[in-house]
This record gives sequence, C-alpha cells and structure tokens, in this order.
Amino acid sequence: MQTNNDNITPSQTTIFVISIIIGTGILSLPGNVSRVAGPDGWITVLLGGIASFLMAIPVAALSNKMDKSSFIGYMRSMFGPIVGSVFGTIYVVYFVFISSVILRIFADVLTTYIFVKTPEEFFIITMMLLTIYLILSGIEPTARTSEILVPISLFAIFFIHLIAIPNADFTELLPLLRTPLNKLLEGIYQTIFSFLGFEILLIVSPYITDRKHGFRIIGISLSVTTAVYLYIVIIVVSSLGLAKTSISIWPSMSLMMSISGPGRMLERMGILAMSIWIITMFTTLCGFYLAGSLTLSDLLYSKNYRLYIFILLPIIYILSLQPDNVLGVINWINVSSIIGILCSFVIPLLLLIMSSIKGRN
Amino acid sequence: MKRTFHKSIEGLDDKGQIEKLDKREIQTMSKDLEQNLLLIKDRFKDCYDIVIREFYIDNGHTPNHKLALIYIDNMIDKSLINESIMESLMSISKHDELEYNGGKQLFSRIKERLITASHVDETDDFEKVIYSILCGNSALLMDKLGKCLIIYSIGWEKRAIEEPATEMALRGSHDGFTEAFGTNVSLIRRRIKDTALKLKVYKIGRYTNTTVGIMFVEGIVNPKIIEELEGRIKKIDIDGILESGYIEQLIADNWLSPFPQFKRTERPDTACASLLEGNIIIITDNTPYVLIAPTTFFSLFQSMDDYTEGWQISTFLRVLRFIAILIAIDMPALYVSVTAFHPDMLPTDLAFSIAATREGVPFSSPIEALMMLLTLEVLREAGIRLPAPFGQTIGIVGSIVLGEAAVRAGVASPIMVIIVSLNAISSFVIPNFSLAIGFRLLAFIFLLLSSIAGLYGVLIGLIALIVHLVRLKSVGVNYLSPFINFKSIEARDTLYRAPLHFLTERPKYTMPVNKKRLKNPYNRENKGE
Repeated sequence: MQTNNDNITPSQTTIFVISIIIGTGILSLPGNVSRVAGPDGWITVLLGGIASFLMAIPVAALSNKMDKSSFIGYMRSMFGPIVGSVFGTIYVVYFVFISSVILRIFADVLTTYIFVKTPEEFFIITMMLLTIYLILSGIEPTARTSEILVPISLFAIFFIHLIAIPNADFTELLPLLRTPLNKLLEGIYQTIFSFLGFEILLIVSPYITDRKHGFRIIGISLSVTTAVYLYIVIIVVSSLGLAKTSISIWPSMSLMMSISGPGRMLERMGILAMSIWIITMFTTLCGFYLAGSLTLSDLLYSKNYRLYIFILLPIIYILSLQPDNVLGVINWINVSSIIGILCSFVIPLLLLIMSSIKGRN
Repeated sequence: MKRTFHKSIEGLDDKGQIEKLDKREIQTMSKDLEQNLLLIKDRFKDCYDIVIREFYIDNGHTPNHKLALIYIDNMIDKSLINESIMESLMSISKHDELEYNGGKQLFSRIKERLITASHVDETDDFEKVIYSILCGNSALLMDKLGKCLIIYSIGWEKRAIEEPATEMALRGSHDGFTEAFGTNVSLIRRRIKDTALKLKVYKIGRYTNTTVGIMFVEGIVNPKIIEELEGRIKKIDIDGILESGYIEQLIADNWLSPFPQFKRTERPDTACASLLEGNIIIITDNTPYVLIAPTTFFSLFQSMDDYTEGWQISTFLRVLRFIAILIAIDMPALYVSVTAFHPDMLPTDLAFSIAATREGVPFSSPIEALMMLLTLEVLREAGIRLPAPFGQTIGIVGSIVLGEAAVRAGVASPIMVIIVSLNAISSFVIPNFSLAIGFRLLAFIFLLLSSIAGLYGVLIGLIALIVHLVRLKSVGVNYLSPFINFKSIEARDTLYRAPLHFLTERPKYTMPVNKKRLKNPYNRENKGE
C-alpha cells in the first residue's frame, strides 16, 4: 500500500530541496546583485551558485553518513548531549526565524504591490493556516506536494519572464567583467541568502529511502536553482534596466507590474507573477516550518512533531510582525543570512570533522 | 442467473454471514414435515406471497409420502416449477422400485433423476432454507427426512440491456449494465474469457441481503489491494444496501473529500478496461453502476473514447478536459476577483466594456455571480427531477426567461451570463459526473474565496486543493498517481495519450503484478519473430 510512511525517495528529496531554496530570492536577487556588482550581477549569481555548492559539501557528505536517527540525535552522538543540544537550538532558532522572515516578506510584497489596504496579518495568517494544513500530514505529503508544485512554478517562471524578452535590452549587461574583485565577492555574499535552504537535507536525511545520494541531490538542486536565478537576473536587469533594478527592493515584481500579457490578454502580468511567486514562497515556508518543528521535537526528545507545529505557530506569527518597515525586514534578512551560513556551513563542517575523527577512532 | 445464485449461496460461508446466522441460533431441520412447515409458516406469517404446495407421492413402497414445495410467488420461474419439478414428481409411477428406507432413496432419486432443473442443492440448515426461499429459489421438503432440497428456480422480471444513459461514448459498445447482478457479471465474462477473471461474492445488509461481488483478473491485480478492499467491504454492517453509492461512501478513504474515490461506470467495456489495468470492480445487485477501485484523479478524466479513437484526437480531448476543469472551478471566481479586486489587470478596453455592461446592475459582482450560479444549479437539478416531457420546458425557461430576461431587467450583466454558462458547460465535459458535481461545488467555494481576497483567495484555494488531492487516497493508492514519484513514461496515458502501441505497460498506480500489457508491433525485435 502507498501509505504515508514518511519515506521519501532521493528524487523526491531533490525536488523538495529545490522547492525550499527557490523562494524570496526570485524577488530580491536582481536588485541585490545589481546594487553591488552592476552589470556583472549575473556573474555573481553564477559564482554564488558555485560558492554555495562548495558550502554545501559538508551537508552533502553528512547526509551520506547519517543513519536513521534524527539530525539532532546525530549531533548529540558526535558533540555530546550538551553541545549537540546547543547547536540544535541554533537550528530551531534559525528555522523559526527564517520562516517568519519569509512570511513577512510575503505579506510586505503583497501589501505593497497589490492589496494596498489589506492588513499584513491577513496574509500571514492565511498562509500559515495553509502551511499547517500541509505539514500536519507529514514529511512525505509535503515532499509530494512540492513534487507537483515545483514543475508548475518552474514552467510558469520560465514563460512569464519570456514575455519580457521583446522589451529586453541586453546591452544593460555590458560592460562585462569591469567589477573589482572585492565587489564581486560582496556580490557573492549577497547571493548566498538566496541559495540557503539546502541545509534542510540534513533534517530530512533520516527519511530518505536511499541515503547515498547527498552530492547528487545537492548538485542537481543547486544547479537548477542557479539556472533559474541566472535566467531571472538576466531578464530582469535587461528589461527593467540596471538603474531601475538597483533602486528597487523587489525588482522582479516591479518588472512584472510594468509588462502586459501576450496578445494583450492581461494589462499587467504582476498578479499572475505574484501567483507563481506565492507558490514558491509557500513551498519554501512549508520546508522551513516543517524542519523547525521536526528539529524542535527531536531536541525535546519527542516523537510527536505535530504538537510542535502548533507551539511554533504563535512564535512565528509574532516574530513576523516585529520589523517596523521594509528596512527592518531587510535587516532581518541580513541577520538570518548570518545564522543561515552558520547553520548550513559552519556547524555541518564541524560535525563532519568531528564524525571523521570519531570514525577514525 | 443460476450461476450467480449458486455462488451467492456459497457466499453464506462468509464470516459476516455466519456471525449473523449465529445470532439467530442455527436451527437444523426436524424430521417431521409438519413441524418444519409450522416453523416456516411461522416465519412467513403475514407474507401473503408465500406459496406452500403440499402433495403426496404414492408409490408401492412409500405409500403417501408427504412432500411440500415452498416458494415465493412472482420470484420464481413458473414454467420451471411446472415442467421441471411438479410434472416429474407427479409422474413417479408405481413401477419405480423404491425400498422403504425412511424416504432416503426417494430423496436421492428425486435429486438425481427426477428434477430437471439445472441446479439443486441439499441442506439441513433451516436458516439457509429460509434465505434461499427469499432469494427466489424453491425448497422441497420431505416427510421423515431432516433434509431439504433447494431448487434454483429464480425468475423475475428484469430490464433488458440498454444503452448506458449517463455515460455516452461515440464508439465502444452500446450495452450498459442493468440492475441484475447476474446479467452484469455475464457482461464482463463475455468480454474477458479467461479463468483468471475471478468473482467473489458477499452478502451485505441485515435486511436487504444484497449480493455484492468483486471481480478482478488474477495475475494482474495486486493481492494487497484485494485484501484491503475485501476487509473494508466485510466491515460494512448496515440494514440495507440499495445502491452502489452506499458502498462507495461507506468504504471511502476520506469521507470529507468532495472527490469520488471510486470510479463508477455503467459501461461494461470501461469496467473490463479497468480490470485489465489491474483494478478491482465492485458489482452490487440492483445497481446498474459498477464501482472501480482504486481510482486516481486522472483516471476519472478518461473515457472509453480515448482508446477507441486515434491518439491525436484523444490527446486533444484530454487537454480540452484539463482546460475545462480549470474553467469549471475558477471561472466565476476569476471574474469576480478581476472585476472587484484587480480591474487594473484587464486591458483598458475590456475593463471599460465590462464596466459598461455592469452599469445598470444593482448588485456587486460576487452577489451577482452567486445568484446566477445558484439559479443554474436549480435549473440543473430541476432538469433531472422533472418528468421527461417537462424537460424541454426547463431548457426554454432557463435559457430564455432567466438568462435573457435577467439581463434585460438589469439584474445580471450579459458577461456574467456568459461566465456562468461557460462554467456550467465546462463541468459537463468531464466524463465522470460525480467528479463534475464535485467541481460545481468547488466553484462556490472558490467564489467565496475570491470575494474575500480576490486572486489571492483563488490561489490559496488552488494550493489547498492540490494539498488535499496530494493527501487523498483511494483504497490506499495515491489519488494523484502517477504524479507522485513521477516517471515521464507515465505521462503517456495521463497528460496525453500516446499511440496505443507505446502503451506497453499497465498504469503503475494499481501496482499490477504483471506489468506488461502489449508487445509493441512496431518494435523491430518483435517484428522479426
């Protein structure tokens, strides 16, 4: 019988990881890289993709090494219960924090561009309810849902941006490679936040049916993500213009609000684009929220993660309403970026070193 | 028919049935005929249609041996009773040498030589006798013997095989299932002439004792699915099963879902196609609808025509149906959200023309849409309930009076009439009407969502719908198969319909034991042979 046995196949995991990585980056990435690297923004995206793959090596290696016990359990066995629990707490904080940041960005963009008079709380609450409806059913249905939603959103992203091509001026991407190295490096750092999410692999590893494919999962998902981001950055910068992209917080949305649909079926593509983007946002949120409640339940030696979904609900909700304005949100993004690097690179690296030392002994 | 009831008696050995008999205390028959008759008369008290025909056989060695034939009037085949039973019994002549051994020899003589009915059975279980009589068999009781002969003499009026009324197809056979269980089984047997086609029979319903059978092709179907389905069917404890819909709802995986979790069909060819794909079919007596399990969302979109026509046409029809679904769920909701929330989305000319047509309309567009949708549903429902001669009236009243006049009177805008009609018509493109009606219901929910939050509401609804479908199962099989753990080969018969010779494997969702369906005739290796 095809029951909800909470086992996911490697290919499901790949799509799940892709669905988590592709999220807010679609909206903010073109602006971020243009501000720092100017016309060479797309190169920083490419380099950022490669950099994040290098960063993800410990995660991939660990995922191959891990067994059926949970990630927290693995950390406890490697670092000892106290240090393991402290690191585990960092992960919970990270997942909760990033979930609320995503929710807030989501609500902010909607209220800025489309529903100007609707309170943000409405969007936050409805999106959280929808997320809970899905993740309550477990990790396998969540992965299955992204398996259906990711192809839809990838195709849609492709076609929606294709519409902008007639207006695109690719000379905006010139001159090539005139950016100083330090700016490039800063640009790479800017892109990292958009590539975060692969660390979820650590959390879902115990549920994968065949745990020998860590590198393949990371490799495929990061290259798909890089390709999508590259496509978006190139189209947005060349159609919106470098100057406009740099001053815009969510340039993709600005672009979509300014172009018409094919055959003048729609006056503005904005709302259609928003729909696609809500889907990608939803899958990202589901991944982080689920990871947060799974980690928290493991941290407290509990088997029932569903309870922790409800415990996290008010925390994420209140946190998401904390930033006062868009600038506050951007500060939060920067903070979560730093914790993200800690959680997706530093701790996994330590863990990998630790496990290889223990393995040798 | 006879075959069916032979089987149906065997069904008595089923666990549930035995338990039921236990409650009534199994009673064996007494040796005294009068005693037995008294018991039977007591049970059939106030049943006017019971016929107890008492008679004697007078033979040299068995003088005045009393017999009784019991049956229910109108349920038996009168000519069979007359010709095959009464005539032969009465004609026992004196020169038939029979020993007098308590009627035992007479009994076996009657059973083996005299009765020319094709099926007889002997029993000493009193309940079984009663039950057989209720099924339309006749019971032959004899004095001095604690045994009874059950003669299969069923014969009642049944409908002829007609064209399925609710499931039209351009090509494909024109016979449909009827109410008679045996006829339905024979319609399947006629198409699959192989001993691998199995039939298991259960009795469900404390009062109706309805015959419910499952059929499957051994060697294709996954035994686990049979086990699961059997377990669920056996668990049903209800006073009566009057239609397969009862079973469908009682054994569904999720009773909250508006989606049918069993595919029901009136067409034997569809049922056989599913059998060959590794599905199980559930046949219920007195129902022309056969249930197919497990079912997936995409199999509900398929009709027999998809396979009888060429692949280009079928693919086109499939795509058409997917578009029709989107219209059937979303159309009114999209209209409301665009006009009430996002008029900036529309091209200026269109926005103006919509605004112009809505000029005299006093209601807001969600109310207008709700009114029109409700009117349409009322018309649809009235169209079903009304006697056929009135049916056309409804069409005229509906389309002209309510559509045209509503617009003229300024209650609804013409665009709304277009939207609502398009919405309704699209939902009828879906071959399965349970699914179509489910979608009609969803149209209201989406309308509500869109009037609360515009396109955002519609999108939230769509995501929730996808999540719901992802979680849904039919007999433990993912409802959205094969789009779970998707393999591109599976798209051949779901998203589009590949040429028949490419469909070499059975669909994966039934988890068939034997996957190979077809040897590709265009494959070079096969051609050489």
